[in-house]
Amino acid sequence: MKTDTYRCLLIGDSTLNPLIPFLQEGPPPIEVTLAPFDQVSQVLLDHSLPCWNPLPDIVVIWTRPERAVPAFGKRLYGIDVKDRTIIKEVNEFTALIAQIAPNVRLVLVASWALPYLNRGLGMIDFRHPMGITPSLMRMNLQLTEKLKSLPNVFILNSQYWIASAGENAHDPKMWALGKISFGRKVFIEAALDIKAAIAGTFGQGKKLIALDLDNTMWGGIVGEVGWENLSIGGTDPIGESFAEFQRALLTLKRWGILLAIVSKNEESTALEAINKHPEMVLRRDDFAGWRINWNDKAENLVDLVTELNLGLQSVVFIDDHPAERARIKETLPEVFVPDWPEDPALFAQTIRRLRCFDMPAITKEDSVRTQQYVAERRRREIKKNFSSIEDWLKTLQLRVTVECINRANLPRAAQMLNKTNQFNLVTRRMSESELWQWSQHKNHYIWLFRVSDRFGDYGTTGLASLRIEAGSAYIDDFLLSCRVMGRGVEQTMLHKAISYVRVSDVSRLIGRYIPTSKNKPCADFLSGSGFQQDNEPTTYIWPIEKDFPLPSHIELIEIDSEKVNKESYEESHI
Amino acid sequence: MKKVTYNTYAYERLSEIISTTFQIPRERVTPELRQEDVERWDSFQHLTLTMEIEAAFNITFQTEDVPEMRDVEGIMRVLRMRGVDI
Repeated sequence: MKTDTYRCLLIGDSTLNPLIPFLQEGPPPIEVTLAPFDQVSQVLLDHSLPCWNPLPDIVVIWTRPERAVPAFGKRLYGIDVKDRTIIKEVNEFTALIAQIAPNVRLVLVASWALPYLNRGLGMIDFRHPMGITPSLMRMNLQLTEKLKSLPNVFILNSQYWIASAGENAHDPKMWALGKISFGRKVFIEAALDIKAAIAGTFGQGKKLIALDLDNTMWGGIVGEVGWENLSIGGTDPIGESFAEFQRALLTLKRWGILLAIVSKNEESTALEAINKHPEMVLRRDDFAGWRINWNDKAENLVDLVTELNLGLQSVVFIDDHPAERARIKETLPEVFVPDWPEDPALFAQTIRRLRCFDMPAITKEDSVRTQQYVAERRRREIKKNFSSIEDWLKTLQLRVTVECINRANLPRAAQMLNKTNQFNLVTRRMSESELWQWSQHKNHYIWLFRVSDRFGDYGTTGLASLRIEAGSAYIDDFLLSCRVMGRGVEQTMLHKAISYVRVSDVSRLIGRYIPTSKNKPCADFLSGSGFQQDNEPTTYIWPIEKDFPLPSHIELIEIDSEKVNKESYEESHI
Repeated sequence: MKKVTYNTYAYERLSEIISTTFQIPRERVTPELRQEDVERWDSFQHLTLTMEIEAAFNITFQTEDVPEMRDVEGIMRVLRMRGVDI
């Protein structure tokens, strides 16, 4: 399913040609096709048009409000039209989008905005029935309302692009010459947002922010001035800037991004400041981990990322010191190192403007992720007291709950499928709607595994899928979040899959490992689990006569062992 | 042939924009290069070129300037009219 280049169809009612080069710049690679100019409805309705062949992965729909909703166009020029006519036309537009959505992986719709300044009716614009601004707001809300049940359709805020371009958002000359409705800067901003949405959807979003402390999170050098004299919060403008930056970081943490510290300091001094300074916004338990010492930051970062079971490609590194940034950029090119301003007043807006945290959904796992790492830190502290792994595992009181894929856990299932790299048999990437469609086939099975122990809930961290075909069962997906690797959960997943096929009419279970640069842990596990291996070293076979026992330290709870009622994708979506 | 000297920086910048926009080698860009000589120089790319030049030189063309710019010489003439030393 994963292709290196995403095919993108661009549908619009103004000239969008200038957007193309900006979309093609930088990762991820995109191949753009432009639909015939100003034929939005025809293009959305007629899939026999050449622009639909080959079928694009992504559709971008960027329309002008006065054209997509002609009644609004009338109102814009002072003609009396009813609100309900406008709403009816918005609904017609969204119906067109709803019917193409299941055919592609991702649909991005630009919200409606006027790229030029229009005061409408001036001081009475908001209260008069013919007001321009409230009409646009209502249209966008209606658009949102109608599209929000479609899991692969997202509305991008075009007002943001227009605001970034300021006065140059619209050039009347370009409109007159070639129906170009937007200025160059608008196209640049739009391309960045579109690319961020694509990267986020296909699991390339960043997961961890690694931060320096001195003059990055607070003003001053704690080892020199002492925590009491750090500049943070209070009435001092520099302190206020650092507090605002920390609030921006805390917001990201609440949205599921992990925070970590990589700082050259004495650990005890730095932690004391974090715990004791009354104006600190972020506290010790807001950080998933830290490396506070005098070692090289690149080494520290690698070490930390390994501890958190992440890949370097999911890391953003923030440091006020240009030399440290250069060092990371040079030694760890996978890490994203944004250019950082010198003025602390700009820190908060710089992090808010980074377009690397886009995600197609926020799951329950995201919002409690840091808590899980904090619990993990406690587990490790306990582990030191045990001489054998087995003894330690017994004390964890691990509990695995398995359930079939359903509407409620679908977003998390898709998220795991797209984000898991290391323990992943085939690294098959699919959008929510693709995954759902796949799961609805009568010979396809998807199980999700939720893990908890006495320290806390790891959340849903494992996924296995089976396909029964011609007397054999195939494991199509077998993936586990690295956070729970090595605790018997992977064995529990195999136990579930093998026990399930043993009572059905198949002779063997087959797993075909597809190697990537990152997923060796999965092959290592299967090789050590008693599978037979075919001539090809990447095919693992389990003869069905053989049982695969549940590890003794694990309690397995099956919510529904039978397949849940399969509902069709269309029924529940339209 | 009359001898003309160009402000090297501005001319280099313009050549770079033309070569990037139409995906042609830098050496092909000469003052004599005309729209009909370049495959990709269609009416849409012409507007893209206009936008790129405006952004690079921080100027705003007038509507009537745009059709004047059908060859590199013409672009330079219009740029001088809008105050660019080229």
